[in-house]
Amino acid sequence: MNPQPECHLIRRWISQLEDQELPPERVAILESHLDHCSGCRNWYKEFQHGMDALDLGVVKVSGEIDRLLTGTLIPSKLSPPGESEEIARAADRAAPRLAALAAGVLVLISIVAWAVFPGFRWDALWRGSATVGNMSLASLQDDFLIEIDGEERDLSQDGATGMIEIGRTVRCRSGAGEIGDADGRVITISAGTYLTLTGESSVTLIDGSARFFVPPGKGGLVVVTEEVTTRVLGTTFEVQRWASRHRSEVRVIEGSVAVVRGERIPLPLRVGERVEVTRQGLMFHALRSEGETALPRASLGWPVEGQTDGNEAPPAIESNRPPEREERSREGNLPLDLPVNQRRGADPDGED
Amino acid sequence: MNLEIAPLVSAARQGDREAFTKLVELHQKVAGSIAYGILNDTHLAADAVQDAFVKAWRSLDGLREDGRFSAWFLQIVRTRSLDLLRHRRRKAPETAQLDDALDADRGPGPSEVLEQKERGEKIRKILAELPAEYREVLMLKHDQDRSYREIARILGTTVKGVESKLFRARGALAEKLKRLDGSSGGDH
Repeated sequence: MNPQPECHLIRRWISQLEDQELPPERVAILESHLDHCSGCRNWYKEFQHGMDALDLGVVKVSGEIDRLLTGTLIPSKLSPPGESEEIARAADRAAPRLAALAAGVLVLISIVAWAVFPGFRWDALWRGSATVGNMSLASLQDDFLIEIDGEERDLSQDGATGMIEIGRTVRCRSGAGEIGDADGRVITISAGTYLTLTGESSVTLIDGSARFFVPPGKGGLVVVTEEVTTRVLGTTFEVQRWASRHRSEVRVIEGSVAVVRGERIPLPLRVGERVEVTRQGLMFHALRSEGETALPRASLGWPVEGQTDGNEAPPAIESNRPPEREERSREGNLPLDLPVNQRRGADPDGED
Repeated sequence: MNLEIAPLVSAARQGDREAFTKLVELHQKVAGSIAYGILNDTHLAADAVQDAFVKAWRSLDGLREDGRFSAWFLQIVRTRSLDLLRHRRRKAPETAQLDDALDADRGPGPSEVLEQKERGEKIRKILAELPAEYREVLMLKHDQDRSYREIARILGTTVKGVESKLFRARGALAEKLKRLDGSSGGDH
């Protein structure tokens, strides 16, 4: 039953033949062997079946990776080549001198502080207030691992802390952590979150999900994704983005937010509500809580005729579905599919 | 291929983003295959490729010969993938759920398409069970249709080594496939 030694060689040749790597002089030998060896003929048949199956699996994987990569790398947004390397090199050169200088200043401050305030504690300097232009970073799980502008930062001990400058891009590889500022705004990130701290009051979410807590009276926060902008004053909400699908979701946990796409009228969202926006402007809007009546709401596709201030709800339009409809989206929400983009094709973002 | 690539690399060095975009397009698929081979996770593979492109762009000055961009870049992909492998974590489960939901949204097509899709998923699982070195070589051959010589260059091995590894990888795959077909009563 076992194949002859010659058969082993022939089967390797079959594999090479499949790859068009078998020298022509061996093809004739192979054919001649197959003519009289039913074992190898069967093996060849199975081999071809396996190759067909393999192609099917490979195509699936390859298609998925392609889909994930499409639109995620935008070379036009990259900084000039080599620039960051030069900056890094310059920073490396300057680092020892800066460190020495900083240490000297700290020693001086501590001598003065101890002389003037005997009860002085170092951590009072930064406790509750991050340095201007910086935000604090804290681990919530012991496997918290992030990258800041591509550089790995290990905060893998529960409670580990650090600082991050505004303008940096953060990618959370594992675990969960918090980014906070002196005003008490907190961004909770977890594995998959990819965002840029674009300003003191603005964040761009590139991919993944993040939860934002904004205390009232602290200047608010703007969270931008390619599909939608969310403006808040004092609230807790989550934004999730699937970069590969050009799709964003905003979910309000406390208070209310205003979401807007391009120059359209802001749409207020209240507690428990969420909105999904795609790059094409399609939008779904639903209530989360079980038992609540899903009220039809206006869409972001409403044409702009005199911009409003965002607190004013746009006119309601009828939903095509009755609110008590049994169908549920994921998480058990009552979906309200609204035909929203009235001006499809004229993307007001001008980024598409 | 190098003739086509060298001028693009040269232009990219001067800050030409269009040229770099073309380089991205030319290498995206093979980079994805390599990263998937190592990481066995499409999301992580996409991350690795993305990171590698950013790193390549920033380090173009470090490339000595423009014509060697492909090998240099694919080495960055491999290194980055191996880095991620050390810290591999599953993507946030919610994302996966949404992906599944969106896939389901597309609705079932004709039964043949559905069967093929299911089979594709099964093969993908088998592929995931193979050792990384087998998966890597299978992806380069079956997804990229690279010659033994090209694969050898990418993986830093010999043509003979590639041929041998491919044969063993296919053998391992055939064994698993036989078991799968046996257990499902032959769904092909």
